[in-house]
Amino acid sequence: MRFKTIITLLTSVVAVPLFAAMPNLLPDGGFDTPEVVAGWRTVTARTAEVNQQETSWIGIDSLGSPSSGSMVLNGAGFSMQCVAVSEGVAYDFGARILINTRDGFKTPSVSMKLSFFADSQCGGASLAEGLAVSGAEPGRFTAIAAKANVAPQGAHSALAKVLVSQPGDAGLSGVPYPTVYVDEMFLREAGGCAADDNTLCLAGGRLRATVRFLGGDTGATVAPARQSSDSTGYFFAQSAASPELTIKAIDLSQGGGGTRIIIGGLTNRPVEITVEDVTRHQRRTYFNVSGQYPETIVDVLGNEPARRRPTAR
Amino acid sequence: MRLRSFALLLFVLVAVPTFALPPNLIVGGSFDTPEDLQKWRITSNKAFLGWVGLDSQSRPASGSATVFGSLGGYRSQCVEVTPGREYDYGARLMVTHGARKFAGDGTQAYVRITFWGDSLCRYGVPVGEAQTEAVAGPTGRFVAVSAHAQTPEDARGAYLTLISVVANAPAASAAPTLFDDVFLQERGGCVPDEVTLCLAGGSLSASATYFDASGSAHQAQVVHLSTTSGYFFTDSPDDAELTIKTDGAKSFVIGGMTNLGLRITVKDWTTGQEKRYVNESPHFLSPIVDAFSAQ
Repeated sequence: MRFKTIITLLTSVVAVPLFAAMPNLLPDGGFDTPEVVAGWRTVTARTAEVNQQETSWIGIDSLGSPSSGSMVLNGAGFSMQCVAVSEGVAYDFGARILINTRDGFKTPSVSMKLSFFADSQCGGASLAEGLAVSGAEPGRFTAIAAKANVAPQGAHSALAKVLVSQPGDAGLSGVPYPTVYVDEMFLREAGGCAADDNTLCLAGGRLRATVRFLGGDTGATVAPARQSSDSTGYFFAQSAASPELTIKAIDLSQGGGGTRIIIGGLTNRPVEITVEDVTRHQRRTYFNVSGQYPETIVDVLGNEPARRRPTAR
Repeated sequence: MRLRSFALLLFVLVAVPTFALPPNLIVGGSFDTPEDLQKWRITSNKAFLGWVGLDSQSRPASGSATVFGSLGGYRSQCVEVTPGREYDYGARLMVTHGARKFAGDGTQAYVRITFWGDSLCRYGVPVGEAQTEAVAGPTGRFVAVSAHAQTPEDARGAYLTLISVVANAPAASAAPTLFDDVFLQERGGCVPDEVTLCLAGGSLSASATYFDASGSAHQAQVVHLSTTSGYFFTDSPDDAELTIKTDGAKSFVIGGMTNLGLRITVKDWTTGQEKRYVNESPHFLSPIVDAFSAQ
């Protein structure tokens, strides 16, 4: 086929049992309604520099869903939830974050922290901690995550916190401050797709997509990603305003199984695209090494039995 | 060229002399800062205006106006208009998912233009009025609305009003609607709407027609990703079919994720040049890399 002249396909299927995507242990992490914000305990860091801090809700969703929204954090502080965990189990956690900023104001910095406790209600000293820090440009929802945080021996609970550090602007009382929107907060057992700044999780988290730009003076670099919906997203190089590769996933479960992936190219840079069905551990890797704009890639994942096969080029 | 095998460039219209894009007559319509709200005026004591740092095209240092409440909206400053002249007006808006205290899903939002017989919009009664299509919420994303109006012969001034109301129940509290990039301009520039992308400061526009299984033509709808990029969709904004990005004011790249029959039109509004491309189903659209010539 034409696209194979510039796209090399590498397929590997690893023999592991089929498993379902891990459930989110944070039941209100999707912030679908204003009421769920009440399920989050918010602690305000009131200082001389910070005039106000509040948690609220806005009907704007990180993936464009008309029937959902986000939690709004205004000012310095954090919101948290305590959940039960099992010792020795590895967990992924993260969220989608949108940082608003304004000229003349300091841009808030956002991170997410996971602390493990021996106490079942997250009391006492923490046994271990993990941190996910957002370095994203303001103005768009960006995913952050920290992966494979193992609950230490004796851990029975974990506190998931989203923290906003905002120096504030003293003497400007009543002025709308830069705010932070938080959506799709998750804490779940490791092994599924965990969206972060470089990873798209499509088709309900069943597919994981990443891209590396090949060549260049510094070697291969990982492409940042932005997710537009549950089933679509794109990768970029310099700016999120300029997509380089777009990808979408179409569920074919009604017509024989699997997920169709379609990748469109808006770049002539050499790239390596990896898409994995995390529930079946089937992975496809595509290369554009020619320096030409790649033809559209159309493929189906997850329609093959999960059995051992040799890696094939 | 490879891209021409499936994406066929149909024709390029003869260029017309370079002309300037019409300026936006509305001041403060991009709501870059909360101070821009001061250029707008309330029309009802039950309507409210706020500002959020979320921009319709994800500009990092800009935001939007939030209109909520009931029985009214917010109106712009009065601008001078010329009788008999044609104008385009509109905005990008997002009707949010409403909290319980709002009527939520019944909210509709639109932009209204009101013409007055004096240039200050103060004396007498309005001499004309029109509005964009009302967008029913929640929309989940920003959508562009626009309309075209001809100034009445006795009109000298006009203002725009940003309205968010509950359909058939104007006294009910509407869900907050975000308005951004409000514009009123003389006809002759790119006008964004639900099927038209305006890119590169309005110097380029892009639209796409797709053909269904029976061969019927439909306009693809659009989502702006930034001031320089956006995508087209057919059934759902969650499902992009093709994406376009610009590099400067003349160059553009179109990438496809569709095997639909397509007719794509890109226009350079500074010269009047227009380029059309066709994709024949069931081929998947090949990348299109092209540029308008400088005039």
